[in-house]
Amino acid sequence: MKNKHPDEWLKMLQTAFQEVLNEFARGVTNLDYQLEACDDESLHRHIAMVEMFADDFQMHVGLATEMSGATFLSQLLLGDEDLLDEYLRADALGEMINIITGRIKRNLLDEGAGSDLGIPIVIEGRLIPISRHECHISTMILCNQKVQLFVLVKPYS
Amino acid sequence: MILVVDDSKAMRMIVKRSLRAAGIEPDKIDEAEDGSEGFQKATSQDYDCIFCDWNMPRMSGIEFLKALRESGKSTRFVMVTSIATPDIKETGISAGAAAVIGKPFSPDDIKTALGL
Repeated sequence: MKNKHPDEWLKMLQTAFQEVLNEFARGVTNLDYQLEACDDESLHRHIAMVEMFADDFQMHVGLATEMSGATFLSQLLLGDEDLLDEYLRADALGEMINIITGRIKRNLLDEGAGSDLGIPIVIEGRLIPISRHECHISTMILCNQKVQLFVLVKPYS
Repeated sequence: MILVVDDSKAMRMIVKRSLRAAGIEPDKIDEAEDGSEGFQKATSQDYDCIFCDWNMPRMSGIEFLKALRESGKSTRFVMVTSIATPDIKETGISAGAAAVIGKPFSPDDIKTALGL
């Protein structure tokens, strides 16, 4: 398939993120999403991402948030009653991005385009894009929690 | 007795919560961390149903399913995957899965997969 402009990838990511989270929240709570004008140049410290690739593109698709956002997202998946520890929070974020990228893969298939996925990677720390990679970020406010959605790509051409 | 097989503890918790919501009592749910452990458990005792992730280290869900069927076990097997494409579903069903359900899933999806 032909590569897309980073803004198109971000749009697909936003859609899949909302679809997946709405399904997890179904019957429990209503989620309120707002896109925020984004001038962020760096990602928050709790990062989960998956590599997506096909013949004509290769990128990492992910989300990043601060501790309170990571806890919020993890509890959304696991339920409020569960006691979160560091491992479980990371595991939940990895599963979340795994499911979101699975949804993007399925949506791409609906467009007639195949793609492959790597395994989820979870990072607690600072991600520094190197070697001609560009990080395109959109910021979503979800129930007062700031979640950055990002694609890490080589420059679009 | 239900066996939940997934290398992600978070996902095992999610499946177990959905099973409880579907009316399964907690003491009727067992778990395994990968296909290899799942295969050992599934061939050493009888389960009513197995919920199994597709992508796992050591032994994947589809390898587990094929090995289980080769061992002669006909336990109801439900594959759980984040990539529920038509190809994946067909591969799972052809290998002997009763159902292939995509993540995220609802308690109703779980009930249907259980045949309730």
